[in-house]
Amino acid sequence: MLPNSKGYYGGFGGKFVPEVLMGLLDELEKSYNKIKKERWFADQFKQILSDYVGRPTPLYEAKRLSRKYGFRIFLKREDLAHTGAHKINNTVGQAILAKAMGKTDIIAETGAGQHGVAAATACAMLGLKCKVFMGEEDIKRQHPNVERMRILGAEVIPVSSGTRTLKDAINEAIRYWVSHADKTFYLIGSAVGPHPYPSIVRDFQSVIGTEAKRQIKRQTGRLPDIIIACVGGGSNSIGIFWPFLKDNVKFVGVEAGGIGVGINQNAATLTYGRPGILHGALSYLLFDKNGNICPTHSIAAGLDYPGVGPAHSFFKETGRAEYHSVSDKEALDAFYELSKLEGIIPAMESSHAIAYLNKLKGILSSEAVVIVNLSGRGDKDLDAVLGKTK
Amino acid sequence: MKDIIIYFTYGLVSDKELLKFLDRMYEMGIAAVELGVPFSDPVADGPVIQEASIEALERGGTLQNVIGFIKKYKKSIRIPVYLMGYINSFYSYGLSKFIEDAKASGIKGAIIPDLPMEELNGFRIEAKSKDFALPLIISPLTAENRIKALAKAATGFIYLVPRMGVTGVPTDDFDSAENMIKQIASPLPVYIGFGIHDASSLRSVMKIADGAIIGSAFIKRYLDSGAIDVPIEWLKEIV
Ligand SMILES: Cc1ncc(COP(=O)(O)O)c(C=O)c1O
Repeated sequence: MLPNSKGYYGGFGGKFVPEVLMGLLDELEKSYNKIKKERWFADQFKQILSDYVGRPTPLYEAKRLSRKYGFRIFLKREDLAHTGAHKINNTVGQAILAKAMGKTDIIAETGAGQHGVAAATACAMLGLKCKVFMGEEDIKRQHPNVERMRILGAEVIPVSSGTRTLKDAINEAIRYWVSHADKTFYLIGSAVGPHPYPSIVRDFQSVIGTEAKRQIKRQTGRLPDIIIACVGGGSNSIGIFWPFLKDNVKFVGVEAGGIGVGINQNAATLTYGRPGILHGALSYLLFDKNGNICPTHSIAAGLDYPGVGPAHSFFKETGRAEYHSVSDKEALDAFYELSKLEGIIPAMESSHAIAYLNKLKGILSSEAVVIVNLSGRGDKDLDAVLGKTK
Repeated sequence: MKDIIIYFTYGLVSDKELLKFLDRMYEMGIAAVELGVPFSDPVADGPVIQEASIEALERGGTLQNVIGFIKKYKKSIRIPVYLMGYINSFYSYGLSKFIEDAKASGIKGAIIPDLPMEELNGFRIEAKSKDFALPLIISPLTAENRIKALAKAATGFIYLVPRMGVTGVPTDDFDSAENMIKQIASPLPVYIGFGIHDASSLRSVMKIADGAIIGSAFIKRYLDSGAIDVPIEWLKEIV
């Protein structure tokens, strides 16, 4: 069983949190295990996903892109989900769970602002109070999302500690959580954090893979050869991978290669990191010889994080998935390529997954079927992209 | 006489100054000093210890250096020294090697706020077998049966936190702490830490526990003044 009863995927996972949170995690695990089996929960989740989020999202065969690369490419269109990214699947699920547990004060962290917007959206719809912690650096580069969160009624709390990005937003969210533990529900935005969060997020995001499996069978009569997804904390990737776990399908996770291999030049945790402990879990991590967490860089704010969810560390160690990285420049090229060839402007995060197609060119046969998880749309990235290409 | 323990971040002052500081603490009758191991992402700490941590990191405060320091001055350090830090510092050092090196240098134990009782069991067992203390924290949200289990698993002392939250937020309400102490059946001393900020809060703690741990209020006076005498004078006043 993955994870085991202590929340471990092989040697990765666990609950490395201050004592004050231990009881809450226990309560969360028990409530979740109970509620997820209840009919009303499945029904409500499903209904909101279809009527509100707009699921199922299409699986689109990108013919012009396919022609260019020489194999069949299908895009799982999470960019078409409400609020423009896969993040909403998870926030709806966790918000229903929080409400069922009687919690009305929600906190969340955000990097790109996509999870923050998705959390603010789910909270507005379900009548919950929402505070979003966001690094000042990210507030600058993702400003439209900050305004969206505010319009949706959330309080955005700027984080000025540390590197002022996603990692520090999580630190601050944890500090707030520790201080208001009895009243607050922490709505984590990726498949990271202490057990049971990585598995809860995985379960809610698995709708992506479940749909994709049905859709690819219908459209091609078979399973794909390869599934590609970008990996920040690892939620869109685990969501599309998980339902194919036992199938003969290759998984490729694409990390942020940034501008180089040095410290503060990338955020490619599984490529350059080693096992360590941060934000509640033992998993691959970027840290120096003294154990201090390395600053990271990526053109995609949503990938700019030194850690990764424990399931991916397990997949890497067991060889179930491969992890590679592509540079800012390659992702940027892919961003323009998909926009021009298919009329789809992808999120910078998702552009990393698209960019990996280039590495398969000339290797796959023309019958090969590849699914790329297009985790989000690129509207939020225009400032960052135009700044780079000016 | 009850115990007072002072927390001070390693790396904030030079080794020479720290050595003098440890000696003065001993002369004053302080029971032990916890040296904070600076970490980049101290999630259990409020602004004061965060700032101390950043400053100490910039000055080269590392786990390796603090162990080296204690080892080098082993003979002249008379006060018991514990370390307080985050698990990744110890994990990346190597847990077995850490116990071995820390023990050999004379360090009594380590308080690790993000390492709950259930995790890294091998580390706990090894520490116990080598008589290296790993105190555990009990929080106001810790359930009664869990308090019993924690009190049993802890070594060295029991660290009771009187309120929710990070270090540094002043506390004057110790009612829940008093109730929790009644539930702890352990031969180990029970120390209250987090939020002790003046003579009155110290007095309240001394009435109910075996001792008090003072951190942020002490460090803040050092950070504000840049002189170690300032927090020491303050400490003399409130004791
Ligand atoms: C569009 C999009 N894709 C991917 C990610 C990366 O997160 P994860 O790895 O959890 O899917 C983000 C994070 O903000 C995002 O906004």
